[in-house]
Amino acid sequence: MNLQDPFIKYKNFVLSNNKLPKSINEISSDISGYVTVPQLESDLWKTYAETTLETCTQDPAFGEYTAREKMLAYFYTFLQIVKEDKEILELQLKNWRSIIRGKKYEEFKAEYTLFVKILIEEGQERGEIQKRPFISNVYPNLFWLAILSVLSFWLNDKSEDTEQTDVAVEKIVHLLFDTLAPNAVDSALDLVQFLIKQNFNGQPK
Amino acid sequence: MDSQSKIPTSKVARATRFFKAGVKVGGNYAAHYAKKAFGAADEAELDRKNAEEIFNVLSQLKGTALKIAQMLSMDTGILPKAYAEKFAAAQNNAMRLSGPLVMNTFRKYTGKAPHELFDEFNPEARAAASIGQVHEAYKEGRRLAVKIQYPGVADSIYSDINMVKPFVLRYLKVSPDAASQYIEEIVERLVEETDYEQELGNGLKAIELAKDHPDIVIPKYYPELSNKRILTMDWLEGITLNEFIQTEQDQEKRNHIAQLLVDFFQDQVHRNKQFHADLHPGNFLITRDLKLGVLDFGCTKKLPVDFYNDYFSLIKDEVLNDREKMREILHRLDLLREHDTEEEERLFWEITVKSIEIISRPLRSETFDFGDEQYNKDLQEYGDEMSNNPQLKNSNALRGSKHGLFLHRAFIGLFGILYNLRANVRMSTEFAHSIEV
Repeated sequence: MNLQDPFIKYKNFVLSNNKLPKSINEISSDISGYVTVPQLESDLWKTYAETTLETCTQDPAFGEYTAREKMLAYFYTFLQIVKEDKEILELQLKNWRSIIRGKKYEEFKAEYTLFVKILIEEGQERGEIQKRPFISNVYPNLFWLAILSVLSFWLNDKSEDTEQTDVAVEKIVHLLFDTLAPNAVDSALDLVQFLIKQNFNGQPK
Repeated sequence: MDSQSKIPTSKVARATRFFKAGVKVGGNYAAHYAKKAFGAADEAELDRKNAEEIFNVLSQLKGTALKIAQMLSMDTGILPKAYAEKFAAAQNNAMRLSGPLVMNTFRKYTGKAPHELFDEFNPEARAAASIGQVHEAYKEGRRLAVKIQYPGVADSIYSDINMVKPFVLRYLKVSPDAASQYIEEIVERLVEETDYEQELGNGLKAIELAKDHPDIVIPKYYPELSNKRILTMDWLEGITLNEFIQTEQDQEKRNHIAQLLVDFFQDQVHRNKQFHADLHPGNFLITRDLKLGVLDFGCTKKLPVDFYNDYFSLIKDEVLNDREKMREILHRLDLLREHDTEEEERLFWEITVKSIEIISRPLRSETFDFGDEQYNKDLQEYGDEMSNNPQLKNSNALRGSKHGLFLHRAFIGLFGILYNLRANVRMSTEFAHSIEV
């Protein structure tokens, strides 16, 4: 089964009708493997994530990058891949609530999160990312927020060759990693922990 | 990477920084004409601390703001040393593109990765400039310099200018209307500078022009490895003009380099009528065999023929001695205006005549010694006189053709370097013979 084929049919439909299909039948009577449109869209998104990671890891430089640089490279690669589908994604993402709640993007999110978790682990090993009690668990959510921000910025970017998105990516990634890097918050937590312990131990009063 | 994350991002944040330092960004054309031209006054009065503060603010910005900072620092040498050195350092402190962004820029504009285009490509930048950074690469045994532009620079020019504008206007005490044509001119040049394809064209033209000067070297450009955001040229070996100024003791060698610089500039202005308008020491290299290497043709200015003829005819005696003729020309150059009162006409006439005398003095003698302290003293005095003249502090004093803006900037740069070299050079006014009046 050629997986690409249903995608091409789907994309052609959206581009020529300038709307999203309501059912598979609306696209074509012979799309193999799919019963519903969300299924197909979900797979399309999953492919974006898979192709992005694949392309990244094929670049010999990627392995040498720091976690921060890997995130940058991932976003730039991702944007290169979704670039040709911009018009379609504009229609899909008109309603942002759908991406936050919708099942359509779950597999994409899962793929992306898989990459992110490895990245976070690596970042922690390299000292780029600080392990923090409780908070560490929500790190992947911050990365999810980051890719949503990149996507949303890119969809609205009217600059030539979407150059402003390149700038935004740098800034978003730096903000993200600066937040996760060891910083004042950790010293504050450390102090709080110390004070609590002092209190429990009942010394010195 | 850290330096990048600390660049204040929002317009508000950047504006606040300007406000904090009360930066005096300026280029009042008539009133500050002499003052700027000879770098005396304001900048020279800034003490080291003050210069540092302004520098610190500007260096946290980038793009246009840094460019303007560099424009202010044009007057190296006549300026306090602290200031000049600080800005030389700015070249190294500017924003840095991350490795992935370099890769992305290549993929975006060439469809290929750097290692596919070159035999070898160093992902670490060797030098940074205000709107890009330079990487070293090798292809077929040639050492190449690959300049890559920061993304979004072209887009941000307009917002940067709009941000700087109120401060400039307030500092100069002029209305937006009076300043608009000069600001347009600056924007035009800055936008051009972001187009590396145009820079490549300028460079090729300069190579053609420099053919007659075996001692002027302009690197070979590679159009097939260049586009509007990436510019590839031969790597030029040599020491920077700044280093040369500081280390070379032999005055004859200093004069030789100064003469090459003068020939290069005069040739561009008078033969080409389009010139390298960014004459700061960072754009020149001295090769081992004492040739002058010229880099960076991003900022050039083309002079309209009418403006050129009017402007340079002002050094001809038959114009200077013919009041009517001169009045006509000064009107065309917007130095005198139709509704000027008698008093205004007298004022601007005097200023113009004095400016001409001072600027053209080096051109009038067979050879001229820029180390001459009397000349530098005259310049400073003239500058002080201008900046302290209350009559020159209103909107009506902002005048002169916009085409002169970058010509003066270039003269400032040239004279500044010649002063730093304490050079003795021939400048010649031969070009003026061909100007009909």
